[in-house]
Amino acid sequence: MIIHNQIKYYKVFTTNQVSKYILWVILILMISVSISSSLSYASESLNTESKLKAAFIYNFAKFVDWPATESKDTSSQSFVIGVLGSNPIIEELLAIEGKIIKGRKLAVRLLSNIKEINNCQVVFISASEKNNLISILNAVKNKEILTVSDMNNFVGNGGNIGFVRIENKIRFDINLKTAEKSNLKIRSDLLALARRIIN
Amino acid sequence: MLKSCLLLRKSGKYLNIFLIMKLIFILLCIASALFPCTALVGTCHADEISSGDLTELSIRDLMEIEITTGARKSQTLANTAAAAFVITQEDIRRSGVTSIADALRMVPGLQVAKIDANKWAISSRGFNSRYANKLLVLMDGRSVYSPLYSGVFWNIQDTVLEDIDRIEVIRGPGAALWGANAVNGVINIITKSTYDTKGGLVSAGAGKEERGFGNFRFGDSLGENACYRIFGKYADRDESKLTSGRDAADDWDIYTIGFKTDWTPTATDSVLFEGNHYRSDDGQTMTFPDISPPYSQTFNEDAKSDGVNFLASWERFISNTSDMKLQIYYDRARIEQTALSNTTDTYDLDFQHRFSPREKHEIIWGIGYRLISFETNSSPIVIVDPENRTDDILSAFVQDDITIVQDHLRLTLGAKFEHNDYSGFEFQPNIRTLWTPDKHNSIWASFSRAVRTPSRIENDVHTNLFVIPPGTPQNPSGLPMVISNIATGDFKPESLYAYEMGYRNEISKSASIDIAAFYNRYKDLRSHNYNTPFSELNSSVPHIVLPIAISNDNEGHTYGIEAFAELKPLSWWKIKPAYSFLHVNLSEPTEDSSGEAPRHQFSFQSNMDLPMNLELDLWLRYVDDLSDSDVNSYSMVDARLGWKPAENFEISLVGQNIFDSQHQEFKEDYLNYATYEVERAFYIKATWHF
Repeated sequence: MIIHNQIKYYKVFTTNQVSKYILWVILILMISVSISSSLSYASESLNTESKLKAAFIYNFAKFVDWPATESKDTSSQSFVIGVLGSNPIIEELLAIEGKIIKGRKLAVRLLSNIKEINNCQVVFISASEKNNLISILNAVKNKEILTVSDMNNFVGNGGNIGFVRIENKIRFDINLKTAEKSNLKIRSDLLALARRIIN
Repeated sequence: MLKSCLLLRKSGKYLNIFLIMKLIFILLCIASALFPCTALVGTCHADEISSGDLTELSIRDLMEIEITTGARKSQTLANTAAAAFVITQEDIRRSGVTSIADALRMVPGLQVAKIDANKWAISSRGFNSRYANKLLVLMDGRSVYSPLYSGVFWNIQDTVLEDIDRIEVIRGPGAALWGANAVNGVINIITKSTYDTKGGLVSAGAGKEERGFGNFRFGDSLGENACYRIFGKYADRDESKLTSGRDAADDWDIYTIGFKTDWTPTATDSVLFEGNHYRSDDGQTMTFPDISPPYSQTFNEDAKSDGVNFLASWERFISNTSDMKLQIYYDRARIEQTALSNTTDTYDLDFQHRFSPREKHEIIWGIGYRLISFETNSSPIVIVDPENRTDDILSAFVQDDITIVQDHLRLTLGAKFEHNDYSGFEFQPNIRTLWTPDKHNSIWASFSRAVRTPSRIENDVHTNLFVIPPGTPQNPSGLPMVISNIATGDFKPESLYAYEMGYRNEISKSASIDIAAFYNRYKDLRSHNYNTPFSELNSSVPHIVLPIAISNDNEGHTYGIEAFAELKPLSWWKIKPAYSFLHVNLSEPTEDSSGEAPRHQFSFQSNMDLPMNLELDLWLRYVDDLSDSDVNSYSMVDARLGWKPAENFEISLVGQNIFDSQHQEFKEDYLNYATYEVERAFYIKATWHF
């Protein structure tokens, strides 16, 4: 009888102790949160869609070869990414200007008309240029220029790499046929990660 | 005297754990206030993302990153007018769990208890038991709830854990989209798209309780617009301990193999086809009643489960506000054991359509048909009558999501209609509202009616539970008394009226909090009533039968609060505290000791990214006692140390239940009366991507 009562006493003791410690832990957490947010050294920048796409384009350049362009001695020239149309990606691409791709410095140009694409290795076509797509793709024909866009069904219409957003993550499709027509060589590692490949 | 000494030592252990954790937190808080990330730690691999330079990441890494905008961290959670929790792949990986069931321990509002080495009791907001029947569990859209046992066998719900994309848990009546039995919650296990699992994965490990396990997966593209993966896994697990300290006989092993393919024939269609096969041998100890002396027999056996399932679905994207989905699946589940053997074949066809008939309205509607065929073999202990039967369920649902004030106020009206072979026609309406005063806060409230339709257990199954020998105080007669569960066949559906509300706040990019509260009113809950005993004098061994009739005389209410937060006090340190409180008040506390719920539960996870590609993860859990079952409260600490010496290779060392050699989590007593305890465990695992 006595032992039973003693056991009950200890059980109550530990449950209360536990609740007390739980409240302590929660209190400390709230304090640490307010400290960290007020000091804001743990500042995380936003992984916005444009920032991610700019990083993807930088990486695409590493996995694509421009045979004719690269056979000339181009180490002194910049690697040019041109942007057609208005798009928040311009800001993100400008932020990484100067980085080295394939031994050349990255340069970013906002193109005001189609004729300026001739000096670019990569052209990002904004969705705003949807209606001019046919003439743009005609202008890049037979030139070693990689076309990238995030407009709907870009690769179906002949573009080289099209971004697709799937549930908050970025994926991409590749049109191998038009890329090969432009004499571009896309490495198998990049093809392996593509969602869809049009051949 | 001895017992009180043991308990004193045990309470001392509690003190030590919390004292240590308290000291660590105080120290780290001081450190985080004084030193910013780069000074305290040499290289933080979260640095790349926090400093904004994503170009240093590989394409594989970039594909894993979720888009975050200024407004919301995760669109799905923020816009849900329900108590939702998402277990991500990262959560699973860093918790060190080796099964889906164990991963569920981090969800507030769920009761997760390990009965023995191969059996779990998992429920939402109370009513927990091995045969918890108020929770709907889906694996990629396929229901894994057993309609015979009215419960989920968690040991066979298995897949390569690295290929699980997320587990969505909604506590409360699962919005009109899902069927009856989603009374207290829905768990949706979603595996990764095959596009995200290209390449190979091999992982293997061994340890004390995980005697040995191996996983293999290979995925690749199939032609231009399709992709597939195949996988296989095997695990061999050790037995648990009895309270006495002796080994139990519940060791088990399981293998699962399967495949999944995704095909996007056009830009607007996607087709999915997947299949799985599993086989499990589960050790168990059964105690059967016997009308001759010694009136019971206890023996060990291996229950054998195996099954095969296929699922195919076709989704068509029509516009930003419209899409449709057609899904069909077949599931065969077999169990062979002395008490009851059964094969269940399920055929399910489902169609869903979402469209916007006018501005500010988004309607989702669907119809479904399910055919379930049972082939059951009774035994003298568990009698099923009729042994074979075929049931079908026809269901339809409709939901209108109305935008009352753009971006600020939404109202959702929904209803599910169902016709089944046990209770006829069922109607489950619900109404939800979501108020978003600004981009950081949201408040939701909902009212729903939910129904748990009768299952075979209440209609066709009679169990001889145990025998009270003659000449004992409970049975002074001269004949043995057999206590039997009798299914009377007029069991009504259980019903619930649920009132819920919740609040979500994204305090900053590094802190968010989510609170939900509920009040549930239950009617016609399953009850057990002793009927008049009668004698069987003509049988070979004359005996008395005391029948326990199953009926619907139980009712009552439950209420509770669930809260969780995600905080990043430092860029390399994430903490996830979660707490739940549950109060249960029923007119008839359930007869058997199962069905109990702990009042308080607390979970605390800490994930640290350390220099030299190390990860240190800690997980503390506290579960209150089940006083009527005599299961004591317990706290449990798991720790994981992960090391990534190369981009595609990872080693981890995991310790589970570190500070306690063994503890009991649940007491189930359906033909099995031993008490099992979960032991301290550790394992080491290596993972290689190629």
